Amino acid sequence: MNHTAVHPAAAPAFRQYDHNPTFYDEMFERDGSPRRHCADVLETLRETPPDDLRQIQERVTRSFLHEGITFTVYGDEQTIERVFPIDCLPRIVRGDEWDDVARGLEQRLRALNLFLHDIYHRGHIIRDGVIPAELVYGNKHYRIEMRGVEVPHGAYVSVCGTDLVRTHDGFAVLEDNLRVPSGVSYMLACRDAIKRSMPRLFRRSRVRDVEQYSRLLLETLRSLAPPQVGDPSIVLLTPGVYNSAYYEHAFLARQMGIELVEGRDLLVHNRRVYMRTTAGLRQVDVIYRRIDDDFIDPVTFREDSVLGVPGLFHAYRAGRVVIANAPGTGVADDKAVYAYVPRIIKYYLGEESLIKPIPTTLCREREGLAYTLANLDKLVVKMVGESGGYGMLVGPHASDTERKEFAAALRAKPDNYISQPTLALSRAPCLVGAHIEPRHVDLRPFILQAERTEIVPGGLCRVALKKGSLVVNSSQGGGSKDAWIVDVPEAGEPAAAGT
Amino acid sequence: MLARVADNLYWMSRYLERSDQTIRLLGVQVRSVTDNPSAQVAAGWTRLFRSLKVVPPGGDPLYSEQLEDSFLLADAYTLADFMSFERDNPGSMVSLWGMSRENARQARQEITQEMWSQLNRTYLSLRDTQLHFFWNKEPENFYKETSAQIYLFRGVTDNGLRHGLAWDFIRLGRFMERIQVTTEILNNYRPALDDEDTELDWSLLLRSCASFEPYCRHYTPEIDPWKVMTFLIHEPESPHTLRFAAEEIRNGLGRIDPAGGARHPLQAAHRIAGQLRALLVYGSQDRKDLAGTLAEVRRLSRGLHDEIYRRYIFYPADQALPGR
Repeated sequence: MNHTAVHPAAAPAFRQYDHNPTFYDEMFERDGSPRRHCADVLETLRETPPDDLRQIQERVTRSFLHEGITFTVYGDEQTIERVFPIDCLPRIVRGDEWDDVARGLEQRLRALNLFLHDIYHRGHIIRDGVIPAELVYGNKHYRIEMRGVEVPHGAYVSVCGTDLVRTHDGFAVLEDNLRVPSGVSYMLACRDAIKRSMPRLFRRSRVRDVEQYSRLLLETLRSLAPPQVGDPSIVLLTPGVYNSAYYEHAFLARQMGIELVEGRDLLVHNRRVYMRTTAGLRQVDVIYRRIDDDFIDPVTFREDSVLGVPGLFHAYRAGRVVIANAPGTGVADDKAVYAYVPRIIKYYLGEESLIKPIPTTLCREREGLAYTLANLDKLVVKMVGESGGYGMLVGPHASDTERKEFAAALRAKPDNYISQPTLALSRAPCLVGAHIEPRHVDLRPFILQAERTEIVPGGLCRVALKKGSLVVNSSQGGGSKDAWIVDVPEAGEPAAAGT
Repeated sequence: MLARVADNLYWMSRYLERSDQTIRLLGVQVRSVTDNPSAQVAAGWTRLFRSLKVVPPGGDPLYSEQLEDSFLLADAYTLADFMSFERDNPGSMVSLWGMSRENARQARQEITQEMWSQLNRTYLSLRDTQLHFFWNKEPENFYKETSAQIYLFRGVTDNGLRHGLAWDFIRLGRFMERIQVTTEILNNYRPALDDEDTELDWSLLLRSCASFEPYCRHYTPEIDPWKVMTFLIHEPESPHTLRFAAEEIRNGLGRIDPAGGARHPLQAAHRIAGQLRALLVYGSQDRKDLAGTLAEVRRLSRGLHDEIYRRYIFYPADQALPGR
């Protein structure tokens, strides 16, 4: 492995920057020279004493604490509110690269929505043998109750958060979040904090706006309302204050000026949904739900749930209310279905997938299992139906015993697992103590789809703050940083900016 | 507005008002240590616990005859700590702020960022404070400064929040709590009016009700017990008197539900609010009727709370379907 020192032009803060060309670096070329579109930011970092950066970071953290931008950790004794760690150095993505990504995301979600419509109606794709029936109908997220339900604009998924990673080969989709994706409030809060802390740099950098997200989300939800309703009444349904994403729910409701409701605020009468206000009951037309399928309606889905609204699903089937995202979208972001997405895109759109897929091996297939077991030290093995970084083995980082234990679990229930090559996830400079060091990052852009598709240029950029770690989930020691999509001026643009 | 959220705002505000009263009573009590005889200080602690309906560590003053004496021995530090920072005491300052904040959190979409931030910041700083940080230096200042944080919150509320339903419920909560706690405070001073042996510094009562300066402007700094009592009950322009609170409650209900204010038949809540106001505006100001007046204020304000709940928060759903 060829470790080179970082470009001498870099700041003293970069002295401990371990530039390793194995990984794509978001700020530096392979040879350690700064990427052209990052030059401005790097220049500023060079002039800023690391102490100032640390102070910015502390200020931002404190303001997050005061504003209540926290998630809750439940311990034995007392509950602790933690601030989601934020790194104040932006991750910078070139505008033209982003545009390619955005096109790919739009294509992908369009295909997945067509797929969901198909599998809840005639199931052509299964009849044509493109995807095995048991992967769809046997999936625990498949909702038989959704069969034949017509969804406005065919938008089963109207809010999607797709996790992207980057390697030397460009961006790739790590996974789709099609159920209740979260994190967009952190994207907006990070942006707000960075704008306040580095106003001049931000202005100079021609960063594309993300602030319109809430307006676009509201427009998307409005366009889902039943056509006969003039001014639809829209609510955000939250599991309540004890949910770890409660801050986000309250934030979005406030930004959109809609009611933030819990199950107990709603009731169904004559297949219409009402909320209890101080002035009596008021009908609800669109529900942006941030609770899982299981908890939407105890009558239809889970009897033991106290979170949902009895009868809600019947009102939904009767077309009296719209639920976004639709129930049953989890089939399409399943880790095993992931392997079929390029084929799904081809089947419905007749196009090649614009974003490169990560080659995925299904352990349910005999050769797949054999291959995975033989290469356990090189692969990442994931459990189907798990998320949040749980039930996952990162082969190269695991010990012999961990691998042995995992292999046993794998043999016992091969259907539950898929494997992928360990990716050389890109790294971006992060402030660690008084120095800047590279850390692995991913990016979760948010895609809105109803009548139109809207993607705000940016996303939640998650950072694996632990040195060398590839896991970015907040539950596993991850943090976040602002993602800047910047437009580099035409003049002096290097020819052929291809990736 | 959602009924549940109105409930949250109402209680956010009630807890904060109760915290304000608690802080003020503690401040007065701490101050009284410096210039009052110890018997008075002990009686002050008893009144404080009774007014706030909190059981002190070691016993219940409502049922124990000897308790007043035992406060002579009790340590002011322990009592102040219990009422300020004891998390197991739901009536302590920090518990009240915590509950106010939890309610605010559930009504987050109705309050402004500045309101939340002010409430949250003060709570976090109280949470990390301990009595011994300031007890030996300037305890009274600590209580004054915490009071100031509440005033700041109210200023932010009045100047930043739309004066609509949310604001009305916040205000309603504040004055409902104020009228109830103030009534209890007055009730606990009432026996001293007839007891000529007791030497009591009546300015403490005025300070407990944030009315020392208004009283001095109205009368003179010469403190007359009966004047103090009637001032705190009937004076219309000082924000901490019972009458002022009753006017605010009635006007607030009129804004929340205008139809109920003018039309026939009146809502039960509006009727009670009107009775409460009438009692304090037109009711007897005779010395012999004092106990009766205070008992009636207590009864009506409790009834009012129940009616507000019946009408706006926990109404039966079948009576509230809209004709859409």
